[in-house]
Amino acid sequence: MAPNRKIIFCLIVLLLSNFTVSAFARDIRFEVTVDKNKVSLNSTVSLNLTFYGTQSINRIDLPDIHGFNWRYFGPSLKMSIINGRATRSITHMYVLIPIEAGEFSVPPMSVYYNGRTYESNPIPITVVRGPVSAPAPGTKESYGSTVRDLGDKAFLVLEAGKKKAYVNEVIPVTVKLYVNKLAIKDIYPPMLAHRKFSIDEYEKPRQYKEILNGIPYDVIEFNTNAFGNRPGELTLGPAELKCSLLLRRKTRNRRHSSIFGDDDFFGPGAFDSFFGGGYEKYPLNLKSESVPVTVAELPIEFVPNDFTGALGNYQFYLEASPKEVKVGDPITLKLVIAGEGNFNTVKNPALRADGDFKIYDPDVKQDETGKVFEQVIIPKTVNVKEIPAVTFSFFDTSSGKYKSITRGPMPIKVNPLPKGEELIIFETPEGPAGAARAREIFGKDIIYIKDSPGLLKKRGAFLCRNKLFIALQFIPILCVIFTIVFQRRKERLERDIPYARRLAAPRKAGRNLKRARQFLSAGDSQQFFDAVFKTLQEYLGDKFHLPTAGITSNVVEALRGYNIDSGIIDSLKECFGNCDTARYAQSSITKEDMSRTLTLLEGVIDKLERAKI
Amino acid sequence: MKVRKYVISLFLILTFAAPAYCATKDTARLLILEGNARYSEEKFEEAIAEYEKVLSMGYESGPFYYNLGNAYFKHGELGRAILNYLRAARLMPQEADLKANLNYARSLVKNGRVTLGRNWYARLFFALADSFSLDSITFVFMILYFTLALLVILAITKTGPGKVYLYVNSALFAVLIISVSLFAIKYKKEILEKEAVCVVERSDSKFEPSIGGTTFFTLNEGEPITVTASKKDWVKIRRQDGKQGWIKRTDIDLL
Repeated sequence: MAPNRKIIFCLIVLLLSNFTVSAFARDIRFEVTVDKNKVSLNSTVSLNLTFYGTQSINRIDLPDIHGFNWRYFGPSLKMSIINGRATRSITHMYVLIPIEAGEFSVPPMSVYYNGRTYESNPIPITVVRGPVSAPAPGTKESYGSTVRDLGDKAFLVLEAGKKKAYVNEVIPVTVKLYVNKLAIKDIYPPMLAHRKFSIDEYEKPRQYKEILNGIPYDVIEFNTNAFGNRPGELTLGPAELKCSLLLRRKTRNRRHSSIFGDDDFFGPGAFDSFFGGGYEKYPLNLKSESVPVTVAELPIEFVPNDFTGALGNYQFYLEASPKEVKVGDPITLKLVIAGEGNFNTVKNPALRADGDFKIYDPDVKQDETGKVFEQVIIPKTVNVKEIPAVTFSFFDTSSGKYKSITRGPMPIKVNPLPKGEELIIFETPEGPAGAARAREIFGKDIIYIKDSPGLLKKRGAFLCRNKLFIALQFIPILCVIFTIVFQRRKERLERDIPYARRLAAPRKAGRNLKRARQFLSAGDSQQFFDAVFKTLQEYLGDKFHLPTAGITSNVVEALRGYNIDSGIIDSLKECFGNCDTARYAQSSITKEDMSRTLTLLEGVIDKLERAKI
Repeated sequence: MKVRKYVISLFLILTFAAPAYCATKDTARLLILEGNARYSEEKFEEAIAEYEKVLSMGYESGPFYYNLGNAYFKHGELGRAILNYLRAARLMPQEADLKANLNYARSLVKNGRVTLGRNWYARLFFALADSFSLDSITFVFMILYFTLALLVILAITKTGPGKVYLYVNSALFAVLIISVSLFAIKYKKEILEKEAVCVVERSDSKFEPSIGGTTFFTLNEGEPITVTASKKDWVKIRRQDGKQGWIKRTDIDLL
């Protein structure tokens, strides 16, 4: 905007001031902010004039703002206490109503208060006829894709401190996260694409507020240093930052106002989270633009002999103490390199002593302002008169030239050893103390392939789907069932004698019948009928739990009480009868009689086994 | 006659089928070694071609999937690299190199990993399940099951001190229940459910299986998903945070 078009208006506020007001007046700050820079014709813009450090400034009448009508909304007073320090502010709120489309500007404003003039910057505002493009509703995932998706609400800016640098020269890198009225949590340090660059770790992030084009932003700033590894037109970035965006659930259309205003940067309060949380968390991935950086190679002309790669702008100091020693006593050399530059490239300036000294490795200390090498040297002879000069060479990145700084020689006095003593210098495998190592930066990649193909098997051939394996699983169950049945039977046989005898009856009968069959084949009728009689006695005794010796044909009648079929009783009687006949009229017994008796007996036993008694 | 037929059949099987089986396995092994050679020459595309032949023969092994994942990674196909690392993780879940490569590949997935929040005990249980392959859990289950059955039999026959059996059996039963639960989780995950990985750079997940459908969310290359249904050229998928949608069948590859 041209200066002649600047509308500057002053307000002289006449207020009765007291000590408190004047005390605050010393820290007064004036800010003009808008809620958006782009607005549609049928919408409005909120304009806030905020005075920090006082609440005594009255309403200000705005001048005519080209392209807008304005309306005063009222004041808002705020008081906050941070670290025991009270801050008060007053915000005069206005609404700007666009009246035509185009590019406009809220002019810079100037306020005179308590003898001082406070000024603001101009704020550009674009008025469009149609709706202002915004993220499509419902496509929450698109929030994370690019900067444009969230418009001016949240974005990432990558800044390089230098556009041109030499190889290994420090390039300050800043990644800034700008957030305007959004709730963001779980912010991770940004990942920086840095091919052909080495990157330091991030320092502790800074947090502050910044007004950009009139819009207030909460900013988180991550700082680090980059070093170009190779010469060329390189690209640093883009930076990517992962965080979580908290959005209110759509079912809750009520937006309760917070006593801390509508600044949601730090996310919803603990109460919301505790009582079920009115928020949903979405992953958000912000990406910045990349930054071109030209990395130049160091000049190859006029390179000092003792240049070891140090880059920056340095001062070099050399100290030695004590300066009077005996042969074999240590002298501590302190080589201090201070200034600005990449201290990782600064190495210990070499001391060339030609065998006069025993020189130990230096103890290195490094901080932001310098690098200190403490080196122990021991004079070996009394002929040593001085510590030789030490030269430190570096490439001055600001002038683009090599520079060398030489310190010394430093005179010293070396006294001989007392009589009877001899010089002993102990060799140590390492330096006198652990040398500070440059911060190691690890590369990232996948681990190499395996040489062995491993145990190949058919795809999807799982053990649990193998039919033999499945069949095997039934074996333990069957074994357990069999064991239970076997154990129960065994226990009953031991406990229940009638049951044991009944169970043993057919087995014993079978053995006796076998003997009878042998006697039948031999034609020995007496033995045969004795065997038949014994079979009947033992079988019936065991089957009905009766004393075996007392079983005769007379007992058979008593078996009717066991609910036995009368045909079986008759057959049993016939068997007993045949045995009695054979005993008393043995000569009349034929082989057919014996055979018939045996068949009858087998039939009877078979029927008794089948009968449910 | 019948017996003779069986003998002849068995002889033919042993003579021809078994060597053929061994021959194909040896061929697969040679193809992997050939792929390894191409990989070491940094001819990643040729290495992938050799490895894929083994896959088409129906063979697999943990180191083979690991190498295939590496080849895809070097070839710039992050999705297929993660897919094969996950396949390898099913067969050799404790492999440290594999874990490192998988974690690194996952860290390159755009927008990070979308994961479902679980309780600490659920996380512990699932982490335990992920520490074993399905076959190793099955084997452990079988050993426990057989041991428990043997001890139960001994307890029934009362051939040892009863109380000791009771304590041992109770402990063994508890371990068996845990192993059965782990087995169930692994079985569901690896056999019943169809896990997949997005293998294209971006895939829009729609509310319905059609190109004109509204996009619900977007999958990035390398994101793991579960296939729940399919319809022609579309599959219904479930993301790890439970969100479901339809994507093109060609955008994913099953584990």
